[in-house]
Amino acid sequence: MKYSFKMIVALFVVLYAVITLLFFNFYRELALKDARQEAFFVLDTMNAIRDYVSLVQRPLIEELKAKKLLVADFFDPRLLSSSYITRAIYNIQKEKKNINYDYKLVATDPLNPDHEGNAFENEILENFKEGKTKEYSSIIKEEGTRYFYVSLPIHNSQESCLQCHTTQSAPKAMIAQYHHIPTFESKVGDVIAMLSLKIPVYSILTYHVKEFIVGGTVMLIVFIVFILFIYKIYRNEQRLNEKTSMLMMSQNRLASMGEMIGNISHQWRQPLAQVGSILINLELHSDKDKLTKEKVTQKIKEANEQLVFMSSTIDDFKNFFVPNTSQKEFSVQEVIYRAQKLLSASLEKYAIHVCVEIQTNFTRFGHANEIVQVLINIMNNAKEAFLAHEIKERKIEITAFLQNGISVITVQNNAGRIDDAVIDKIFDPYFTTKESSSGLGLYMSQMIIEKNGATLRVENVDNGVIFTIIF
Amino acid sequence: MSECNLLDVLSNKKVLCVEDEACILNNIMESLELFFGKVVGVRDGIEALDEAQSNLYDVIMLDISIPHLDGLDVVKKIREFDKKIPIIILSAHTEQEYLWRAVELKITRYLIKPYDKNALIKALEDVALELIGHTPMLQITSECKYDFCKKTICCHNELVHLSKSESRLLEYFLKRPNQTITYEQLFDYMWEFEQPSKEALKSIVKELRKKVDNTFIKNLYGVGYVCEI
Repeated sequence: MKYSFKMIVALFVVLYAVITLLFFNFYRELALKDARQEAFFVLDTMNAIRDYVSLVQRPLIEELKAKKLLVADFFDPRLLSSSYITRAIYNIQKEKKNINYDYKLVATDPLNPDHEGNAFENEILENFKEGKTKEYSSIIKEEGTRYFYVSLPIHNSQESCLQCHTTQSAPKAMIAQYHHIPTFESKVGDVIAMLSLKIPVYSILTYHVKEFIVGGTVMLIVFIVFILFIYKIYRNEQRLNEKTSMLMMSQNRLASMGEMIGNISHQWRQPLAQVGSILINLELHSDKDKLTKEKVTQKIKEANEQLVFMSSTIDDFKNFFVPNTSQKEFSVQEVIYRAQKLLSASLEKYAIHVCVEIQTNFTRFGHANEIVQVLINIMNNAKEAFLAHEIKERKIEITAFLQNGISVITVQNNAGRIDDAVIDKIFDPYFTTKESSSGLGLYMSQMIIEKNGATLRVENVDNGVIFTIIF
Repeated sequence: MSECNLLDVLSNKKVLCVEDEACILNNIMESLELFFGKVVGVRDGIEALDEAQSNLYDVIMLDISIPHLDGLDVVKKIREFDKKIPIIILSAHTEQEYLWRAVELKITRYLIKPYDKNALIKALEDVALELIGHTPMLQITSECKYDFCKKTICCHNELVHLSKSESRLLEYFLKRPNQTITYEQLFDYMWEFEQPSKEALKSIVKELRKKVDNTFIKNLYGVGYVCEI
């Protein structure tokens, strides 16, 4: 697995956060857009009511006045003022709690002081008047609360409006009511005022809270499923890795068992041959009736010496193979000596001179056998390199020393350099340059060394290779 | 011939034994001393080659894994100057590589360690047969026969025993019929390091002529002898 599981999960969490943020933002935008449309719809309705008052209601009143059914001086905002009527309708709607909008009409120099706009509103109104925009919507902040602000211009002032909104022609009752009637300084059709609605953003979002929750939950579920899925893959990979490393372990174990058995047979060959020669000697002497008592005693003694040697050899191997689960304190001298002893027959056979130099006999805590195994592995590789490169003067130097307080073992040989092209790969599993090799020896050696909290390195030196174990 | 013990052929022979392990060498030497007239043991390839070149030995037994020069290389070098000397290889190696090399060297036996007594005896018998040219009874002249096993001459139905040095010299001659044999060769072979004398040699030859036949060993004046059969 190239990337760690944690990293992928972290990436997913970040991704999830980003997507969620985008999602909520998108929903918010959508909600605001909806609110805006609705607000415009309401404002349009109000404009329509105004139009109705201007175009239908007022001419009818005038007609009634002309027919003398009403006094010529009749004035009542409930019938004639479009601003008054729209506000009244808004109030009815608000009472019924159909809407929670703040409605306001803004005009320059209004009859009703409530219709005086603030700086912000006047600026929008100016823009409307100059025809820069036809509608306005934005989010504003007032006293710590965020509002969605929507406004539309009242651009269709009618002739009937001017009748009242001119000082000379205003009905007496109206003048009596308002005292001062400012004259519209505009032509028919100009923008004279605007309608606006203020909606708290909070209420827009609360209205959509269900969608938010559902959307968020679905995304969370999808996200969790994804994580579970990745976890599953990760677990499988992990299990596969475990299996592979188990397989490698057992392969390597088999290979090293094979090598060890080879070593045992080397170690035993000589004493077996000696005992054999002793027996033949005894038998021949006995055949020729030349077997003296002294001779028998001497030969039995010789044979026993060999048996003791064989017994101690097999004990060494047994100790090496015993799977000791407990960690113990061991000295570096001990492990080097044991590795050398286990390999002694094959080292002798191939005339490999092993030179051990213990500058500092440091102690380590761990599995001594594992370190022995690694040393054997490295020495075996050297042996094979000696044979492959047909080196005559074969030498392995093992040095143990302390460097700046760090324990180090180096194993150096003069068996020729490792090709620079492959030296970086020699610790890779299944990498081998030999025909009859599993390619696991050095890989396992490195694993074992790392398991023991140390590092194993390799370097080419003058005419050979140096392996360094740094604890 | 049936009552003849082939191994007795070896009783006046000298064997060179090469083995690097002291204990094994010691035991093999002790065993071989039961059969051979003289046994010399050395422990490495170079020494072995030196000894073999001294031309004193009748048989060579060697191990393959010995220091400096491996056993088969030693044999190869010996074969350059002596094509006939019987050689027994003693080795724990059964690898093909070694066997291939051994086959070409015309060795008598390849004994795999650990070997048993019978295998050794059989090998020694082979060596004995080879030494006597597979004829335990050699007709020297029309009347005289030499028995390699018993070291006796049967002449005109009379049995004559030969001394150790007599039989040794006779067998040396019989092995090289119609060849010039110099005094030096005989001195080396018969006496090794002791100071030999022509007189001593002449007296042995004289004894042989008396016991066998007057004519079959001829003098080559100032050079040596030639054995005509």
